[in-house]
Amino acid sequence: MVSISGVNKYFGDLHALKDIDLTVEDGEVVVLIGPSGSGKSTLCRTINRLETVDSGSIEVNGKPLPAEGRALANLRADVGMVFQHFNLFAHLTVLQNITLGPIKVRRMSKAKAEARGRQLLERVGMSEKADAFPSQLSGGQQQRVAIARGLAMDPKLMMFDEPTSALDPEMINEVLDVMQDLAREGMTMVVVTHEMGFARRAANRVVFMAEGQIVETATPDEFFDDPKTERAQDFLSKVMSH
Amino acid sequence: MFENFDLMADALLKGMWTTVWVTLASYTIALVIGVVLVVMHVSPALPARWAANAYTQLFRNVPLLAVLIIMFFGLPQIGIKAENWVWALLGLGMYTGAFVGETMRSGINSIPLGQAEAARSIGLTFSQSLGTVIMPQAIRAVIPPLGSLLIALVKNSALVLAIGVAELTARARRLIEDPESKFDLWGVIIGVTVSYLLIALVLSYLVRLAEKRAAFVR
Repeated sequence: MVSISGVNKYFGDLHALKDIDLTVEDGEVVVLIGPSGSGKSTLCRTINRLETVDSGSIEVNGKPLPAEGRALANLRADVGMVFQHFNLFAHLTVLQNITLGPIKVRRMSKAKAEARGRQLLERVGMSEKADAFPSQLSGGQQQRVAIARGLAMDPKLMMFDEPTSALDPEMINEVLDVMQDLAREGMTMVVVTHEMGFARRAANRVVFMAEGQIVETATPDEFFDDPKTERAQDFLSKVMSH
Repeated sequence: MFENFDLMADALLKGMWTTVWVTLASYTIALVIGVVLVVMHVSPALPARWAANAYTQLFRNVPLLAVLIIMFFGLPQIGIKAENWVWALLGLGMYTGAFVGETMRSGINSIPLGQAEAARSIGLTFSQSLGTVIMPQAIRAVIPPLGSLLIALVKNSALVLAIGVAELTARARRLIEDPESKFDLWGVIIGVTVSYLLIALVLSYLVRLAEKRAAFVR
């Protein structure tokens, strides 16, 4: 589904991504973890070209990432993205947030898009709030709507960039539950998160990053029970200590 | 104080009417120019950004009176001829357009980057995300400052008397300079002041209505 090879990215003098190689298979859930500033969000954002890369290649669905323009828009339509700060369209209702893409990009009729939108809201437990505006919802509710907005495009791949990092603790689980359901249904997912519990339960593979490099790739059990590298051992001892 | 009140009122009403339509017509031109400028400003094409910037710098930094005079006296010299009112509308519109463009740009800059990223990530093209996500929010944010530009334009429109358009101030001047002294100076001054106030207050009220209609829950 995704194949990244030899990718490098600089922010000025900062070498943010160093020779990254990573593939994500169909139906696979890959969780990126690592300390802040390790490049995991940046890597996630390069996959739909919200960040450009300085060298290396990225293929999605067997095709290299297009440069700007309609081809890139088409690719992004197939790759759902969920952001840390939800980024729901502030001037649109919940339902309009979900139907905008299907109507404008997929040329779906309004009636069909709305019917599908309501189904998706049902699925994320938000059907009561179809006509609310984003600012009237809690963070957890906004994030579930954002997931529904991504799913409305029938994406081949869903990416989550720290989807629970901006949430109050009691709202984290409602979002993780939706994500875990998705994973179980076979959605291909790339998830950047600090939720070790989720990584352990839902991931097929854990990718550990530090200082812009992939340091270790393993199954969740291997990674959490028996990390191979010192860097990962150190990281885990800090995040799992309590 | 108000000698020949009906004659004065008649002249000022005609002047008001001219001021109002010159203002509204040139504001329409300014809005069109402003939208074009702001689209150029945020476009990925470098020449478009450069051209928008050049236009803005030119019209923001040359006095309006100079713009009007250059158009009215200068352009006919190189064979471009038009009626006075055409130069009035173009001069006011092009000058105000530069400010409208900058105001709209600040509105776009006030929209969090995440909105544009979310728009792009569901597959909207550059123009779609501008049209359906960014602009609708930016416009709401800039209705009050665009209203201020409209009020400023009402007052700036007085300058077109310099190129012979008989708007409110021009009419008032004729009354004051009336060779037969049929009108009292203070009567005319109060009359013209009240007229401008009336126009500005009505327009402010309309702007506030627009603001209310465009509001959404934040």
